[in-house]
Amino acid sequence: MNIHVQLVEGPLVRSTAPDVCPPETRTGVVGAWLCFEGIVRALEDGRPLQGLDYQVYEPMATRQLTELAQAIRDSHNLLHIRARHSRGFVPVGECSFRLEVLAEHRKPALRAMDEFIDRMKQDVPIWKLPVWKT
Amino acid sequence: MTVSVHLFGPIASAAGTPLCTIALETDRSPAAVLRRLGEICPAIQPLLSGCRLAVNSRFASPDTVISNQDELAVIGLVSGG
Repeated sequence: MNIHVQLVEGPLVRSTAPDVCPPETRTGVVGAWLCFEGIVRALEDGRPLQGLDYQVYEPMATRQLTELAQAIRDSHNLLHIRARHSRGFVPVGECSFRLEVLAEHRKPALRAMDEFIDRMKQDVPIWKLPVWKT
Repeated sequence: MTVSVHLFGPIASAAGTPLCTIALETDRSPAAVLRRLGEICPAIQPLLSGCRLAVNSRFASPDTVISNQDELAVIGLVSGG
């Protein structure tokens, strides 16, 4: 299975390269490994935040994420794609989204990364609600 | 026919509720659901123009016919990531 999609309660564990470097990168097939992490910023429209509360509509969110991962994998000839997204509260400075893409070549990997995130924001029912600092 | 519609994110906040019950007449299309929601809840009317309706956890096509067994949800602008 070269697709992995997961919704996780609360913040995601931050990566600290190189210990998270996936084993597939040592097979001699993978030429590009990209990892994107979305981090909760301290300000939203200039107002200080405690964090973001991610509201998820299930099972649609998991299905949409899975179908999106399959479509992106196929259209960009990816070797592996892994997407994890938080649900519930994520404090400022913590990771709420992580996308890993593995491909033979750099350009399709870069294009896939960008397209996945754009389409996720369009088609996957996940909303972020600000939790303001008092 | 009466149906309940799940609301999320900014639309649920504007409506003041995550679940809205509406009555549908002969027109049981997704467009009719969104139109009826705007009529009974004017606070969300301006937000509905960019919304899609999900029926049983899938985006509905315009020619979908809603039944009272269906789970309905308004999918507005999403913002994950």
